[in-house]
Amino acid sequence: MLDILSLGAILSGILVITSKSPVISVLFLISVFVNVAGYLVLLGVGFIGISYIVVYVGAVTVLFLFVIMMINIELSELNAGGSEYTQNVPLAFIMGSVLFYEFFTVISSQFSMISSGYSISTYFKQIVQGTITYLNVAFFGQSTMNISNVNMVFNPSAVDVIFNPSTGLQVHSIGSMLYTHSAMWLIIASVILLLAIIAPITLSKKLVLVNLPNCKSDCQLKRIFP
Amino acid sequence: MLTISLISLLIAVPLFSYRITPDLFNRITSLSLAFAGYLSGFFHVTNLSQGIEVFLLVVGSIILISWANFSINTSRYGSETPTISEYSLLIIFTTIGGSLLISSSDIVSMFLSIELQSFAVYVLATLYRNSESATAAGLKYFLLGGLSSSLILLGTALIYSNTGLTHFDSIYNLLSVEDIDSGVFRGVQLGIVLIGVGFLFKVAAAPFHNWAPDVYDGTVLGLSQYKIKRLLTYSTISHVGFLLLALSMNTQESVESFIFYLVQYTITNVNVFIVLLALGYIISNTPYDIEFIEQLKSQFGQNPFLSVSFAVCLFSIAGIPPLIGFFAKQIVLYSSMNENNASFIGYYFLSITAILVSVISAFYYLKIVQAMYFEKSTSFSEIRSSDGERSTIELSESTLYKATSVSNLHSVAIATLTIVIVLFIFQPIILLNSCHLLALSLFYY
Repeated sequence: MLDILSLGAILSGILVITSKSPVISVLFLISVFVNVAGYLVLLGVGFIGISYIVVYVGAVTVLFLFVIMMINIELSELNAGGSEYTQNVPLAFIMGSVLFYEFFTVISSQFSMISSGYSISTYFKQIVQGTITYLNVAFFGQSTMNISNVNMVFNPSAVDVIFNPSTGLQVHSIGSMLYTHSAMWLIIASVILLLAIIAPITLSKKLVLVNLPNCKSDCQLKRIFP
Repeated sequence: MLTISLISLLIAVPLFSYRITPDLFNRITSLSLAFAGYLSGFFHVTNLSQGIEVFLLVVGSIILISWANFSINTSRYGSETPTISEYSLLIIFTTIGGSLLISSSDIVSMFLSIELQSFAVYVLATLYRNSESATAAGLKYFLLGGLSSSLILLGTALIYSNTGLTHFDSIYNLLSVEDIDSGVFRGVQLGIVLIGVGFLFKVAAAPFHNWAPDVYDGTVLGLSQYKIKRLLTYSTISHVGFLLLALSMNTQESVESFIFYLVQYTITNVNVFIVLLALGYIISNTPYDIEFIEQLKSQFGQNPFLSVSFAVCLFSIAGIPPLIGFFAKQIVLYSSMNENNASFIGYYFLSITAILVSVISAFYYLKIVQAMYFEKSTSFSEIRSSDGERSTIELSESTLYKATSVSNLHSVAIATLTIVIVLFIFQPIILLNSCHLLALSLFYY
């Protein structure tokens, strides 16, 4: 399941960049976020995964969609083809090779199972295998370096219940503390949200002259919604 | 109490705003702020935090008095926007955030209070949508405030990751038994430096002060010394420098001088701005927002009392005895050179620099006084000839601005604050004793 989610995230990420219309890009961005949120939930940090969905998909992508809606994007100037496309390929190649260089030198020196005498492809395979089994050993408490032991279903794993073993999941423990011990912080955060509701309304109300029934010559200029 | 008034105002503003004018809302809010200053308390309440909170709330109520208090007449409005009912609501949000910040004793509550207070002030800065300079100022303030908040957040994250604690007392306990060279101490030091930088950004202390003149003045143009509000911004920046000097020595006298300087500076600054507002209401043929020093020419002949109050406030900012500003500077500089305390040597270089700087800056305040008292007034439409875009608008609008009167409450506020500044020397014991007791409660309880 972890593999499927990470594959989905990478594929969606590629499609964000290469899709033609900006709205399709935003949809694939949503898919990236959802895949990464699922990955995080499977990893054991349930709260962070759920907050990814709430914050990223619920607020950031909605903001992106509003911006795309409001600015006039000519679709013709977005579709780069021919020489405009190929002139960017060397730069992309350079950036990609820098990333892979970093993978093979900096990160690979932290895994003791990588030894010398291997080719690039085996390095890459070993790095991927080493990362996943390292995570399995660290978080799921398994002592065998077997790649097939990745969790296929959602079980509350060790790191999820580590903060509050009696109540279980991370979301549960955060919630039980937030609503009792730190309730004052929740109230202040709600006041901040109240301000965030009032502020756009105050800033964008329209000024309309209203003829009130009681006014003779001194009609009050009032701000109401358009 | 503040939250209750906030909720009731929230309901009242949209439902009853055709009956209750915005200036009434402002007065109700200022009353509730004054009462909340009398009885309130949040988080970790000490004598010091409660004393300063009282002061903060009373100042908030004074600020609310002086705005939006003329009778609404539709023929008056050219390009200026009329009053906004939610102004008082935003002031309550700011004051709630400020008083929570004073009493906060945890990192998370400090951050939440800073955000609450800052957001409301961002909205206040961009409230006049028709003025392009105001929206630019508000956007600039929002971006820089967001930057400084994220710096503060980075500092708190560093402190939490190095100590595992968020409560101020717990961090103090941990650090008092830690070795200086340990990684924990260094990590917390870096976190505190980042939090300090973020806070200095927020109060516009040099060298992080570049955003302040543009935001206060409402433009993004370059430096121009003939704008009043820009000049007042630079005076604020230098006042913040004095406050930081008083705060950086950790002696009991310096904390007392810090509190006294803060009280005095707030009173004087509020008085300057509300006198400026009153002058904007009274002088005919100007918009309600006085921007240039030339608009204040020969005010002594036309409005003698207002110009006398303005001059008193400016002299107090410059530090001329026997006004209150002089004593504030004197007590800060005295505590910075005091050698009686066993563990403190004296900040000689800083004190000499502060004295020289305050002498030089007195020139700029006296320039306003000179314009008001010794120059003849020119008609308003001749001033803007260099700025081509504004001049055509001004000529057609100069007949639209009729002078209106200053309300009674506004002039009472101006008079009270001016009298406090002038007559402080006859009964200084009230303010000085309070500051002394508050500082003592911090050091020996």
